[in-house]
Amino acid sequence: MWSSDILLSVKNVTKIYPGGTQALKGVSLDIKKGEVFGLLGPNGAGKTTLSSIIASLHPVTTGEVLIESGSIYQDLINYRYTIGLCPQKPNVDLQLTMEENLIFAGRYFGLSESKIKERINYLADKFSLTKYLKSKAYMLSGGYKQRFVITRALIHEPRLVILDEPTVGLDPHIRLQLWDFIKNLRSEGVSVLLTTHYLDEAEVLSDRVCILDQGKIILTDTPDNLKKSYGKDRLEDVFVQMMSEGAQE
Amino acid sequence: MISRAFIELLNRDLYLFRFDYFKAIINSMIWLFCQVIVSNYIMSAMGMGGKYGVFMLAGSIASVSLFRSINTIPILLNDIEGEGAISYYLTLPLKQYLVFVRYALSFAINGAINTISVLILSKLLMWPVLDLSNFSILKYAIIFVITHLFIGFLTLLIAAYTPSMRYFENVWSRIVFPMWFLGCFQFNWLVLYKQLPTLAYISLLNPLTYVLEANRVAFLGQTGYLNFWVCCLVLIWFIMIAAYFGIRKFMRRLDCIC
Repeated sequence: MWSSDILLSVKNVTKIYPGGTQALKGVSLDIKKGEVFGLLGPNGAGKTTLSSIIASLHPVTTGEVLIESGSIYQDLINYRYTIGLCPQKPNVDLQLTMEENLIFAGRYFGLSESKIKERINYLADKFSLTKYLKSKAYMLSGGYKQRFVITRALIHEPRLVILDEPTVGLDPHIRLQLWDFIKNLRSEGVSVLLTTHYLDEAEVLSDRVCILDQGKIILTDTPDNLKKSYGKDRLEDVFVQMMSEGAQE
Repeated sequence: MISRAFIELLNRDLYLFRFDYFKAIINSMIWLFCQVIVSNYIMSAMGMGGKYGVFMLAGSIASVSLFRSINTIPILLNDIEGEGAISYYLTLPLKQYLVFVRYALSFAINGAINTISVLILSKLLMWPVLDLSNFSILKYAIIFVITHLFIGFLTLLIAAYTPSMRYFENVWSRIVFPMWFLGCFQFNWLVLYKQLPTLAYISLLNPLTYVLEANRVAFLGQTGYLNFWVCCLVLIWFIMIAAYFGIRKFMRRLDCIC
């Protein structure tokens, strides 16, 4: 039975790469409308694989990804209009200015020129990027490029934004700006899948977190419930305890 | 239906091409100019026929586009190994195989623009001294399109089967150079057949033989070369083969959704 507050559902997904590596082992989760869903786990847990599958970059081996009760694979092109992907590496066109990058991104999603302009102005203002719009991408630092990649992911007003380690390598004050922006997305009803290594980030931003280890979901809950059930003050301490218990087993 | 995203990706590639346009033309013209000067003046003094300059011009124009296109493979490989802009394209609202078709068409269009510019410049600089009394515009227009589509999809195929940048040197030494040099670049197929029939038959498996022969027919007339229309049909077949295997390999390599 499909609940009306769920935007996307991952059902028993396994992923075996062509080389034979099994990255996901029967993962199931739901992402609700307007929530920030934190995906946590150690290196090699399968976080990027899962976010890539949800971003429709790679296929599942078995299982299903559903959006509003229908498989995303039934109408993949329309599904892609509903998502925005911000990958770990800031993969902008280095020869173009940032504004040109955003203009092309808007065109890929079929936006009109006036709508593109409106979105660029809005997002550049939100991210304090206006004065960098005319800069060539190769001239900007990694942090600014990363912010532009997030902006690019939002240009077509997706309903689900997939942020794969969005704050890696960013200065602390830019991280905080980005946190505000993610909170703002939630308030606008946009769902966010946030893959992160930073547990403070997950704790502050996520409505629910999902801990993934060796391709399996260990648990999914709110940060507050996790802290209560483990008797810890910080999510980071919960995570460390869980990982050490897992290692002992 | 061709999606808007596909058209805009091609548009983006053309937009970026303007940054390299003059560099590409200068590089191509230097190569072409050297080829024609040597073949038209030096080689004719060594006993080659008076039309050897045009003969080389026809082959060289097709070759410069091929070389330029092959030289873009490292950009694609670097992207796959590095920043991964291709991952972004593969999540755009279009079928994933179209991302690879777009690469091939971009290679083809860039090559075609390069060729048109080089042709115009060649005419201005060199054609007064070259005999082009047998030049056929219709045949050249046909082989022009086929040649560049072939170059685009051949580049895609080679890129798909090149595991990483480390192996790019091998592409030149083991694939492109033998294909080009034994593919009737400095001689026509009939001469090869008279001298080394076995090699001539083997070279019929080499698509560049058909590219160079058909281009020469357009410049010099049919006599002495492989049949123009047969060359066109064989090249269309090669385009389909290169497209199928190039796209399939990339789809598997990047674990795309079929």
